[in-house]
Amino acid sequence: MVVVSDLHKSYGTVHAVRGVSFDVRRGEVFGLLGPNGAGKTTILEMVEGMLPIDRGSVTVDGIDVAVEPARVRRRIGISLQKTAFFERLTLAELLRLFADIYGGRARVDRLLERVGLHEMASRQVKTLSGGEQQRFAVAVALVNDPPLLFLDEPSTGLDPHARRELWELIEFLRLEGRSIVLTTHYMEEAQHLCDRVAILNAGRILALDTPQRLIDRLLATGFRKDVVLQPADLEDVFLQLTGRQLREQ
Amino acid sequence: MSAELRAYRSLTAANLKMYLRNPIASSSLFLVLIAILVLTKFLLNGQGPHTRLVVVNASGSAQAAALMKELRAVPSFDVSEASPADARKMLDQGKSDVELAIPNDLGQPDGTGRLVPVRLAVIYRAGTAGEASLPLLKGVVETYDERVLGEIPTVSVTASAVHTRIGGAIDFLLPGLVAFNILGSALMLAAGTFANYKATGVLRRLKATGMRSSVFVLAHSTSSFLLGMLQTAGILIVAGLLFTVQLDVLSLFLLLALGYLVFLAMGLAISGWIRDPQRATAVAQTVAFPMIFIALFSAALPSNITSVTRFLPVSYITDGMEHLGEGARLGAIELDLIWLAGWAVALLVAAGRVFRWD
Repeated sequence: MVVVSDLHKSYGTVHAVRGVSFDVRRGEVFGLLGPNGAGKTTILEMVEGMLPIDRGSVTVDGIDVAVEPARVRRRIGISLQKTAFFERLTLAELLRLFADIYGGRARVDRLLERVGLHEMASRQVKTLSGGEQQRFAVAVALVNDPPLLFLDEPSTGLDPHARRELWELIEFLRLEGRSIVLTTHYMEEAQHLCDRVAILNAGRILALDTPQRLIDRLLATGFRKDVVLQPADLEDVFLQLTGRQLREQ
Repeated sequence: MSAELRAYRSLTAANLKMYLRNPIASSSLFLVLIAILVLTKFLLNGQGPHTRLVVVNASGSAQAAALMKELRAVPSFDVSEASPADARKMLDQGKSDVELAIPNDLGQPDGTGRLVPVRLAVIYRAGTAGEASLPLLKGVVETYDERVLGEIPTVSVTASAVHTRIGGAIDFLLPGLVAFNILGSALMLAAGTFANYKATGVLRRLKATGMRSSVFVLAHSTSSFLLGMLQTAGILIVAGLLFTVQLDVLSLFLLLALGYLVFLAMGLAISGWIRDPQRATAVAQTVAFPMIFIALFSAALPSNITSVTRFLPVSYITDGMEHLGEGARLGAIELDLIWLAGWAVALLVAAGRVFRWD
């Protein structure tokens, strides 16, 4: 679905991405993990055709991103790290607008229902909570019914409840057969959602495999940490108190 | 319908919807300008449309005095007397709308004892209250002729128009107000909105759809143009209701549409060229305010300054508006239109070259 080879990007004297290569297979959730400034968003935006590529190549569904970036963007779904929409339009109006931009049919009710916002069609984005805004951003990314979705730090800033709701949505999208590339600096999120992850630091991929294989590889080196068996943690308390219904569903 | 046309149509409608849902940002300047018009009307005229009539009375007869009395009795006439030279000066300077000359032989008998037939010369400023009040003035004179001088017609009126460069208060004010509105709407509002979209990331989100930048710019320009022209039409309608403004509509539309396009392109060029949205808004304002000053006070500027400012697009709008206000037609403002078209093309090319999504 996506093939990235020897990707480079510099901003002045700062070499932000240094020879990154990976591929994304059909129907998988692929995670780019790394601390802030590791180059996750820069890589993602070059793959999406949002940023020019300095060196290396990216193909999405066989299309060379450097040659036809706009064509690639029309075929994929993108949820940017900092999502913004026209302030004074309702959710339904925004979805219709984006459907017209893609030249497709607006499936407003279906899209809003899929992200759990069907009762908010007449509200404006600014009146939504952070979690609702992220889910709406995913709804907009789905307007053109793309086989490949890019989600840039979709759960950053969300409370545990909203994050779990978003995870459920991403799992549902994977079940529909879509490929998803997401960036995150939450390891728990990557472990929960991703089929394969690439761990980045300073613009380089340090490791790329399934989460379990990466863990096994670490354990094989003799790494052990002190394990404190605790049947619940503070997040469980939080979810129990605020999100009981969600868990029961 | 092609996808790009659909996107253009939908974005244009969305922009208009957003302007309507944010009246403070999109219409506050327009409402202030309407308020200025109403206030001007209230301060200048008080109780409705008035005609400033200056009379050159060369006759000392009782009949001439009776005519003056009839004229002063008309509520919508503000009558004053002046010498021939002063009367012409008042007309030229826009301090009067119409001049009526009473010849010295009014009330003089001929050899048979009957009154000598006389002709009253009326000179009015084209396109002002003076022109509109001509039928009333003629009616007053005819009634006076019949009632005061007897059944045999003795007095007739000959009227001629004069095109004066300097008009009344509204002729001076209206071009400036319209140019102000165009500058505010096209340059500041359009550039500000564009800069805001860039700052908040709305443009990046649109870029992510793969749409062409030209579709977005065209939709943004169309909605801004429609709003600006609607507001300009509103100002002209209110001015027309409050004052006597006679303008050639086709010429006016061409002049204002081209003027709007120039400042819209200027706003887009500024907000495209300067990456930082706050700086872009500040630069747009810095460019706009001197031009607003020029628009409002062009007549009062010294000639060495106007020799430079006359090449600015705002000068072509105010100059064209002044000509149209004097009753001129398309031919008289051709040069203004050509210059504006030149500015529009140059700035649109520049705006297209410096456009950035982020």
